[in-house]
Amino acid sequence: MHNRDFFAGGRSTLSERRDAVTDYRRLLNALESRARRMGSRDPESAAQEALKRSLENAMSQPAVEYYFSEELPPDAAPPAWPLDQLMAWLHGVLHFVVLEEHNRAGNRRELASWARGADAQDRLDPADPAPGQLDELIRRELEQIVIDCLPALDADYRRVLKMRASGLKYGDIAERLGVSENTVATWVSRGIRTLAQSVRRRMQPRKPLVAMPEQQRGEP
Amino acid sequence: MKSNLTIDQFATREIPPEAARDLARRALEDADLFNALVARGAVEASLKTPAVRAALATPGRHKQWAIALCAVAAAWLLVVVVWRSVVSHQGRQPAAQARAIVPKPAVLPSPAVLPSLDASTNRPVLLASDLRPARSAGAPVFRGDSSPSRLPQSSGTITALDAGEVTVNLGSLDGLAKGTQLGSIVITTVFRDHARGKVVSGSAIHLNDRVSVPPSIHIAAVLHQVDALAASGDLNQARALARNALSAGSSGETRVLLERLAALDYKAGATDAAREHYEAAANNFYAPPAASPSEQAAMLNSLGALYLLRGDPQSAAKPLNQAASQTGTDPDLRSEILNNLGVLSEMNGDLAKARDYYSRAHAQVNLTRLANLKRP
Repeated sequence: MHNRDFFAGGRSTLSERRDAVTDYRRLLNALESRARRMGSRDPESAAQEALKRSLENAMSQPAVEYYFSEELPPDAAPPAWPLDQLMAWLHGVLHFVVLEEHNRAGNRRELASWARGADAQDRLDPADPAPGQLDELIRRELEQIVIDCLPALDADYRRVLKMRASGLKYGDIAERLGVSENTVATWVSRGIRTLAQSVRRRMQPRKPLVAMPEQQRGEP
Repeated sequence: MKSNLTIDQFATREIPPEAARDLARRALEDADLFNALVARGAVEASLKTPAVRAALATPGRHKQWAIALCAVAAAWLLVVVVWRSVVSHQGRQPAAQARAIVPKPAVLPSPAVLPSLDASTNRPVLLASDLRPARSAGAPVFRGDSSPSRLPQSSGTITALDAGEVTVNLGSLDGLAKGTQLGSIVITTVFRDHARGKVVSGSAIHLNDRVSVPPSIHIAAVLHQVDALAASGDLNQARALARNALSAGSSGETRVLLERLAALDYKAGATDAAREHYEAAANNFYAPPAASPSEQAAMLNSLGALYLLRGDPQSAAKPLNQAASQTGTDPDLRSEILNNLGVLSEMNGDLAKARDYYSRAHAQVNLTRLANLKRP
């Protein structure tokens, strides 16, 4: 299980932790209900863990602070990450945390017969990935979801998105396809929207990731 | 609805960061909005990655299914075409054949790089002399302003009869020339709208008897006037004249009319009609008089170029390859065909093959120049 003390083991002081919990209460609530829908057995801890990791990441931290802190300093600069990128990151972190939780529970059930030594926790709870590694894991996860959804995309949209992804400007695409820049912009926008709708459907869990039997839900 | 509107505004980056902050806080209360932002962010971030770029470059399952279905449909179409060509009789109208044989086109994909007939664009340039743009209606024409006084007639009457010499109300406008034989009359003198001729001995000719122009001569006269109308920029009248004359001869005789009509259709912007007429003409290659290899190659090249202009490289492959397989075509036409095969390869993403075709097309033209250079 995750440690229920917010930022336990980190560098934050008690007052900082209290401020963080207060400052991001609404975000934590949203992440908690999301974690519950993902099948977390301890959604509150999962939400805290996801927020903790997001605040440890150099790229996501300014975005979390800008978009979700209760009181934003008047001179706060907009972050490098746009909102949708941060939301995708938060979803990815939370998904990863809940998966970790399930893996730990599964390992514990399988290895309970022999993993009772003092070092069992270390063996059963592998070290969390470094922020950079987590970033890579989430990127791959999201990337795979998008790739899975690509076949649902119309061929014309695929073509124009491919050109855009390869770095072509709207003007270049328009010239190649013999259409106006406005048409290209519309196709790109519709392509992304269509793909996003497909991704959204794909991300919605049909059922909780793991339905744990009641008697197995205790700590080992 | 409000969420969608905001998402769309957000997607175009039209909303300022402060508004995005409001949107973020609304997303915490609205799971749908949260999900929409997550999906959008996943797509935007992933589109930049090499894996997704590579996946975008490969055809999706839907497309593969579409290709498989098209292959089945093409097989069925082939069976129908063969069957219809076996049972169809010679006197059938070519236009009717076109309607019967050629299916309505499906929604055509637009290729990544659409070619053009215009060398000034930064796109692959197709070479198809038949499809070159027509002159505009206002452009100067180096011929008389007076339009032909009437359309070519396929038949006329004997207007005068004197000692074995007759006058008919058909002339050069109708395709008559010195020596043309109209039944038992051999034309000896031709004017614009009438002609004189001698009656073959032993034939009984009376005043007001009807005389018919042979279909091949009538069609040639129609073509001449179609070309004149097209040259003056009157595409619509040229097309109407060609279309009306499609019933004037057998399918082999009117094939050239179908080809000309197809080219005019394209120049007038009627690409579906152009495709239908080219395909109908191709179906009549072997109807007598059979098309020569050069005629076949030129028409197949135009049909292939038309497919490419419509963004349909799959359909273009067959006619262009058939055109390339014709022997005895002149070097300039062969160069056009090879160039268009290069454009086809480029559209299919096979750049090495495209380069090979382009260099062969270039060499083909140079062969003629080199041969001339060696002559003096």
